[in-house]
Parts: sequence; C-alpha cells; structure tokens
Amino acid sequence: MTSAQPLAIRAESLVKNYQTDWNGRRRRALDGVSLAVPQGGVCGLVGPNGSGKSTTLKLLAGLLQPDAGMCELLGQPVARTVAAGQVGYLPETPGLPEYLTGEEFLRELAQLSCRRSIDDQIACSLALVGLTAEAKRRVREYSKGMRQRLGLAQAVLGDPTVVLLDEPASGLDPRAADQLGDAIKQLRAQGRTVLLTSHFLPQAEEWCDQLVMLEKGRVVFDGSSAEVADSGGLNKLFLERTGP
Amino acid sequence: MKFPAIRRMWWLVQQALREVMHLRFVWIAGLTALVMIAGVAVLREFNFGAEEKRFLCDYAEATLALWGTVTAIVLNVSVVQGGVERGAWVMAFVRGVRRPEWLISRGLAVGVALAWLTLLGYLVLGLILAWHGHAVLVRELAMAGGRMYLRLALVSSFALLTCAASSGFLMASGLALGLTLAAQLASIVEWAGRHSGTTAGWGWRLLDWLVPAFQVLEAGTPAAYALIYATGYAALYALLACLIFSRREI
Repeated sequence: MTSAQPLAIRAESLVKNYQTDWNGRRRRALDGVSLAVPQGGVCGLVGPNGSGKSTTLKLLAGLLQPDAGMCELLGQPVARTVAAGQVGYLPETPGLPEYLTGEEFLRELAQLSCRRSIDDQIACSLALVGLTAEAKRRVREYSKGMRQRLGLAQAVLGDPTVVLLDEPASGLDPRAADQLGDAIKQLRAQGRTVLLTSHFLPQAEEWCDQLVMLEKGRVVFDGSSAEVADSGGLNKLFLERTGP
Repeated sequence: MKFPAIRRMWWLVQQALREVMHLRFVWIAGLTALVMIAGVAVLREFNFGAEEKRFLCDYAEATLALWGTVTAIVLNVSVVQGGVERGAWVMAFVRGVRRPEWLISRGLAVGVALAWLTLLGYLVLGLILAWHGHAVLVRELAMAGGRMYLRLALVSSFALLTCAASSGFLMASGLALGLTLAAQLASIVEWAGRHSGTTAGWGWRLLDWLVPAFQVLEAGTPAAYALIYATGYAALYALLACLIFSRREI
C-alpha cells in the first residue's frame, strides 16, 4: 500500500521460526511478511488460526526478535520506540490481577511509565472504554467483556502513538463490540495508529481503513477497505485467498 | 523524559510484594508459627534433660529450613512463572521496563517475604525458649536467624534461575529442588568428585563449584565469610537468571 503520509509501522520481509522440540526442529511462523501502515491509520490483520497474526504483533511490540527482515515503529527501531513508551499493546489473553480494582490495576501500570498526571491518564483510558462506573470494582467481579475492555484501557494508557491490539473483540457481546469500535474510532480521531488482529471479519472491515490478510506466514492480500469492498467483501476474499 | 530506573524498580518491587501478599503469604507465615508452637507443645511432654534447649533450637530451625525452602520455591515460581504465563511481564515490558528489572524486582519481593518469615520464626523460637524457662540470648538468635536467611536467600536465587530458564511450574520447581538438594549434600558431591573416574569426577567437581554448600552457612563458619559466600553465590545466580531471561523467547 502506498501513501503520502509518513509510516507509523513498517515491516520488511519478516521471517520468524519457532523451535518446536529439543532436537532443534523449527516451524516457520512468518515467511517474508511486509507491512506498511501510515500514521493515524487503522490496519486490520486477518487470517486463519496459525497464520502468523499474533507473531507479527509480538515482533512489532518487541516481545520477539525476527530471524530475518526488519521492523520499525515511527521511523525508529522497535526497541527504542517501546522504551520511549510510545507503544500500547493488548495481549491476546491479558493476565489481569484478580485482587485489584480496575483503577488500581491501571494505576500500577501508569506508575511505571506515565509522563503526565496519572489520575488524568486513568480517567481518560477508563472513559474511552466505557468502564468509568466500574473502576472501583475488583477485577474478579468483571465479566469477560469488561476484562477485555480493561485490557484495552491499559493499552491506551500513557498516550501511546502506536496501539497494537491482539484479538481485541474476543469474547465481546455485540454491544461491547460496538463500544470497542467507538473506542477505535476515537483513537483514530486522536491521530493514533492502530494495528489489530481479528477473526471477526465484518467488524474488521468496518473498523479498519487498511486490511492485511495472512495465510501460512505470508501476506496474501494488502489493500484499503475500498479495495476490499470492490473485491466483494472481506469474507469472500478470505474464502478465496486462504486454504481450507 | 526518561522514567528514573530506581523509582521504577521501587514500584515494581511494591507491586510484586502485593502479589506475594495476595498469594496468602500471611497464612503461610502464620501456619509456620503454628506448626512450631504446636510441635513444641507436644515436645513439652518429653524429658530431654540438659539437651532440651539444643533440641528445641534444632527442631525450630529444621522446621524453618524445610518450610522456608518450600516457601521460597513456591513464591518464586508463582510470581515469576505465573507472571510470565499470565502476560503480566508483557504489560510492564511495553512500558519500558527491562526484563532484568522485572525479574530482579520479583526476586527482591520474595527476599523481603523470606526475611519476614525468618524473623517470625526466630521470634517464635525465642518465645518457645522463654516458655520452657531457658535463657534467651538475643544476639545468638539474631546470628542464627541471619544464617537461616542466607540459606533461604540462596534457595530463592536457585528458584529465580530455574524460573528464568525453564517453562512450566513443575520443571522450575523440580530444578530448584534439585539444586537445593545438591547444596544440602555438598559434602557428598565433593567426596564423589574426589573418588570418581576422570569423566564422572569432572562432572561432580563442576557441580561442586557451581552449587554452594549449605554447611558453609552453619555456626562453625565466621559470620563475615558466610555472608560473603552466600551473597556472592546469590548474586551469581541472579545474574545468570537475568542473562537467560533477557535472551529467552517467551
């Protein structure tokens, strides 16, 4: 995808192998993935299970190192951007401490990095995901959807410029998914760049202005939402480009 | 603006301590005291004559050494392995926290918890001795408590290393117990190194060098030497743990 805007996320020919056993046998998770997301864009990574979506996100969050290829965030190496606190990340299964309230959990994380008033940051994050009224309740009392929204709140805490969301819609009911969509729109309006993975194709099509489809560690489609619509929709593309 | 590393470590240790408390550490410590008191209450029925004080001290120290070892391993495995598996470290990492900082903060929190446990254990021992009508020498108890803490700190550093190097609770606990056993049986390991064939002998000698000996921490060794010995080994194990954890793919 070409764009006149500066790139927030750039990955070139990423290769990643995982060791699968003690004999040193390796499985290729990514096989030359390239990706370019302009600043302020919302990009969706879609594909079947095991296609390399989460691995791509982990490489971009600096949690894994690529075996070949390079990736940059905001024109700088990933490690530097992460160390500067400009990246927010929602893991696929965010491990939330059951014994804290939502607000206490965010405060613990904010203490580690926040550059401006912690209270303001927490209030903004909670408001963005619609959890302000539930902030004083313990996480153990939260529903699956509320936990997911709290996970999103921690990802946007501290005003990160790039937000990486691994399956943010997982476990959300339709109303909560709508709220998540609204939150993503707000992030876009604030000029933040969002890269998300999703199995929910209609929602990904609605939320994202760029869609990248992965299959067996390779990019099989990369285009704008308009191009997806011209091709007959994301569902059709998915069935055409990914194997049975 | 860079967030000062010391301040960040301070927050990390506090958070890890909160997690330790959430793991019902107070209950563990309370149970330790209860077992010691209950055991001594039973022992009151027996007559140990002039050896009673020595017997009570040995009983209390054996209880603390055994229970403290289990506590050190379980706490490390819970806060380190548990934190990795739950993804807690990931959320800290994307906030600029380096992996060694996260790991060391967890180790320090467990160290603080073990200090509380040791303090409680020796307070209970002092009370038991007074209850049995023996003279309580505070300095003697404090020295013995210090030696016990050094032993538990070493066990904790073993567990920190095995948690950093292995995946899975069982593997980490098993390896830490193995190292603890090797440290307990260091004299046998040393003897095996001297009496085995060339290849096996090298293996035993390597184990002898790598694993500290708990007997060095016992009362016969000068306190300063015991302190340097235990601190050196604990620092070495913590350093190794940081090196492995920094490079490990999680």
